[in-house]
Amino acid sequence: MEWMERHTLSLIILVPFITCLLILLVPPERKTVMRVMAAVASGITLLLSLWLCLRFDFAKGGIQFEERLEWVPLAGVSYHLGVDGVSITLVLLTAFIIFTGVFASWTIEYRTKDFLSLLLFLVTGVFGVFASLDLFFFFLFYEISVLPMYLLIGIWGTGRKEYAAMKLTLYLLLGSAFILVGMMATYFLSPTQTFDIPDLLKSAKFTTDQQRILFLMFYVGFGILAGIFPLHTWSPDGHASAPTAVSMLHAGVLMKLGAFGVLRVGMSLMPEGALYWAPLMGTIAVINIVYGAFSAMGQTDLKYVIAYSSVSHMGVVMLGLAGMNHASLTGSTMQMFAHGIMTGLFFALVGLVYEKSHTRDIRKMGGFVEKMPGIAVAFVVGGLSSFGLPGTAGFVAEFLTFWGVWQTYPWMTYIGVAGIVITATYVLRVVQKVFLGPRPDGYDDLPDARTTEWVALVILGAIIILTGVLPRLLTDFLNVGVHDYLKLLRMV
Amino acid sequence: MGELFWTAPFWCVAASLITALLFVPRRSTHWVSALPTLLAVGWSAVLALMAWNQHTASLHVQAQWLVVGDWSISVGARLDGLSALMMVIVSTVSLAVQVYSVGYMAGDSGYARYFAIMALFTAAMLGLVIADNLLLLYMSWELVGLCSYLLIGFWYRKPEAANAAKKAFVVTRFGDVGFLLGLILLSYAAGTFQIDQIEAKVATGTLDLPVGSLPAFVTVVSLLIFCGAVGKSAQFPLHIWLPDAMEGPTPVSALIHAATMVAAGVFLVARMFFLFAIAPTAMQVVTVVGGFTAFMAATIALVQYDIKRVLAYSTISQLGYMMMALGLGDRVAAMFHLGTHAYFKSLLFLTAGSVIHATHTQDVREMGGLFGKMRVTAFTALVGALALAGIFPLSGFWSKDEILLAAWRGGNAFALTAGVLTALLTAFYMTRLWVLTFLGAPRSGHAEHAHESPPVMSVPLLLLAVAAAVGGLGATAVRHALEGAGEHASLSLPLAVGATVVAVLGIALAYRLYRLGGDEPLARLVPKPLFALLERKWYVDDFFTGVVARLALLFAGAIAWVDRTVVDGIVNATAWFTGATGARLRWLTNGQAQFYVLVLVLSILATVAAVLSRFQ
Repeated sequence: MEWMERHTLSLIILVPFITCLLILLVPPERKTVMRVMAAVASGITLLLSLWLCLRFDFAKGGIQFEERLEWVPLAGVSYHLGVDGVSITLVLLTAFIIFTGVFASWTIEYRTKDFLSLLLFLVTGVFGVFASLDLFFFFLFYEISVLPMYLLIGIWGTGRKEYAAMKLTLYLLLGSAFILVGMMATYFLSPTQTFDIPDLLKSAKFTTDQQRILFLMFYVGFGILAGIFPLHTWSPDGHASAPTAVSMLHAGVLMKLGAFGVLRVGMSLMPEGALYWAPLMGTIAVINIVYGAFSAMGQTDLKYVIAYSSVSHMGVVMLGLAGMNHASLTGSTMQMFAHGIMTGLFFALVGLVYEKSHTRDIRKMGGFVEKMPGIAVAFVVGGLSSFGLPGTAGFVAEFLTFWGVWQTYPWMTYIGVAGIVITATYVLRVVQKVFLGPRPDGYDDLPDARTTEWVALVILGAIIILTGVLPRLLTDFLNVGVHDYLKLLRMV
Repeated sequence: MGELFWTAPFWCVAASLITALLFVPRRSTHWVSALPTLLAVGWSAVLALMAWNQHTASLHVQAQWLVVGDWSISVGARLDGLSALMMVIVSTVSLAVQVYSVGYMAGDSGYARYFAIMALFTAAMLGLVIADNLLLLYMSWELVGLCSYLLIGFWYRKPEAANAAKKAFVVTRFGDVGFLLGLILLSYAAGTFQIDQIEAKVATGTLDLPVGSLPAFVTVVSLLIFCGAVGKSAQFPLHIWLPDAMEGPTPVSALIHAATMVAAGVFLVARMFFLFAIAPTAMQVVTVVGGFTAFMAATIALVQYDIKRVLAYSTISQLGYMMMALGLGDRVAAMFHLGTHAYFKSLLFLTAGSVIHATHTQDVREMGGLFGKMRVTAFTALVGALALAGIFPLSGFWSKDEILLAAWRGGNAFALTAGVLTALLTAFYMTRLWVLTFLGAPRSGHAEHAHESPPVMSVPLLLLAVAAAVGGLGATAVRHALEGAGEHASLSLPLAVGATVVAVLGIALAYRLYRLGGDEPLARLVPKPLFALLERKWYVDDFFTGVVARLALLFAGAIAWVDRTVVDGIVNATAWFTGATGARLRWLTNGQAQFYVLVLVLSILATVAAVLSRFQ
């Protein structure tokens, strides 16, 4: 048991990676075998993540399930894993999204083998980022989770896929450049010259000026991935062009990776810088919320609507971070999870609707609910969470964020709350245009979701409602984690 | 058994889940799929009546819901006079409506879906009235809004229904934002979401104010909470969603858009009355908004031809009446009128449903002469109409009189004028409606061949008619429940006689004008611009759909354009610039070794020359 506890995180990272290699050995025409392998691998990571959550010690708090192996002692690099109350929920989120994502992309026939192995490779990186406590590995995993995106979008995407893939990759690499410079500076400025985050937290004393500059670098670098205004335009193009599972993973998990980076690297290592820049962070977050929501309202392509809604919702995450108190950080981290599940569900649904109706133009749709009631219900569940209806995860997250931020910056709450009206407007508008009203000609044989596709819809929809009705399932973890971050920020 | 009052919502949720999982996927149209809802709502009604008998026992249950830092947020249920009264109203009206629906919705392909959502609505509405804290109240508040959305858009194939559902949700959400902000402000000031604790802090003046002085703070918070009430209870200027909401099935209109959900705003103000009571400015706003809404909606009801829309505007008007009573400081009168209105208005809607069921039209111009063919419906509708008009001894007479009395005692000329004028208009349009529907000669083939509805529909009508008739007897009980055994306002005879005269005048006028049928007499009698004002619903709708909605969409389009062309344009321009620079500099790396050597040699020469020149 003890061995298990010390190595579970490594297992979670390695299982997808090994499966990725194994899939490469399977003959390309045995597609079902590969799909089952991917499903089993992601199923195992899901079970392991759930097991971690069960074993999490709420009383102890701090970083748990630690594993440390010296890698290059001379350079202060170690393979150091561990999760706190916040990152454990993000590991769980990733596991849920990849598990359902594999099922949502069951029908991919074109180069299935390459697709699945790249997808699993990518998810290895994502798990790695959330579990890494060493900046070197953090960055390594970060790049692993960003780069396969180029191929995944470029090969299996739709629309202007090459353009979108190139734009997304270059944009995110620009962010990586900021992060890399910031990390190198952190390393050289630290007294012991180490990449280890807990060591840095203990020993490093950065001057106020250093903190201000370095936080800004991390904020911009990670912020690009979190879709902060005006550096967000890779997101609509990228998410709209990407294949279903990749959109799910990217909007659902990778954008959180950006926000998590701001929290774990930026705010915890550079607390004074974070405090200094918090008003800017909050202002931009509010712009994200309102601007993203209006942009979503102005779209006619279903995938663009969802993509812009992510820009808007990530604003809530960043706003909560800027609030820097217990409620707002809990709301922010809850929103990471809630938005991940919700947008994963949305992209799965949009993929299904597109696959069956062959259009993404909402003006050409209508009355689909009769032909695909299951998809419609799932879409409404996701939509309700998106505009923060009580009983869904989105409500708890948004309420806690706005409630908390009011203590720090009341005006941000006033404007941010207005965002939920705009969100309700565009979500209900899409529901109306796509699912309600009379059905145009030519859509007489739209099928509803099929066996494997139900997996994604049911699991994700159920989580949205479950964590909305019983939020303590999540917030108990977040509480513990947020408390640690607040201590670093000297807010408690 | 009253201690179990808090289980009522759970039974309804269970019924909803059972129906949703067992019957909805099979698209069952069998009456069995209504059974879970009927049983759960029936049982809730039993629990509610038990609870009513025990409402003085101060029952309270709660459970921890969320822990955030130092805040432990609980949700729970509290039984007091107000919540017990609302429980009784909600569950009994809901029961009558569900039984009626078994007949009304028979054969509809969404039969099971209908009952699943109705059960969920009843659960949320019961949760709303027994909530012991503002957060749970807000959550239930939003959930009833969701059910309303789903039921207005029940016949989703109709574009009007889909549109109306969206409109209802979005318009009420505008108000909800205010409610949410008020709740946030108040929670910080009081350090809790618990309503009784907030009340205690307000009473002792120990609110920990984040900003401003106590009177200013209380006024702002009251007004923000009132915003929520304005949206939900369809007060001016957010009333525009309610008439459109009539696209839903008629029993839905009866339950949600007449008796219960739309009254939630009134209930909210009554629940938070301790706050309003110390904010005179807020009270004035409530009075003016309520009084104006009551009058305006009544005038619009005069010229509507859709039987349900007349009733919808009437509902808006009556809700304005209740708000006005609250603004005048008379919580008992408001809640009493809420109760009587719930019964007679749901009765009127259900009779309208019965008529629509028989004639397949909602336009009163295609009805007429139904009195002989549908005697139960006609008779019960008459009871409802007279109760609404405030005719002695029906329930509406007593409750309306209390409100007028409150205006009279308060010496509030505005409220008294609005109240009396509205009473006159109400009697007028209800008579017009009843006469056009039931008297004269049938004006369409369907009206000619109309039949009375089956017993499953007419029995609930009769039961509600009894309630609408004798509801006035509840006056003392309501007063006891809300204020304990306090001083009793007695009926003021001159006022009662005056109000009755006004009502009879309205009835007589309308009867004289509409008995013979023919063209709209008002169009002849009223000056053209005024008639147009009424027909265009005071242009409020035109303003919102024509100006506000269009501006919002234009703005969204503009933002989307800016994002695609300007913000993203800069990104693409950067990429283009990089690419173009690369293309210009490409000749530097042309792959010819000779060229590289040439550059190398030239560079060395230049460096040497530069170094040498330094030394000289």
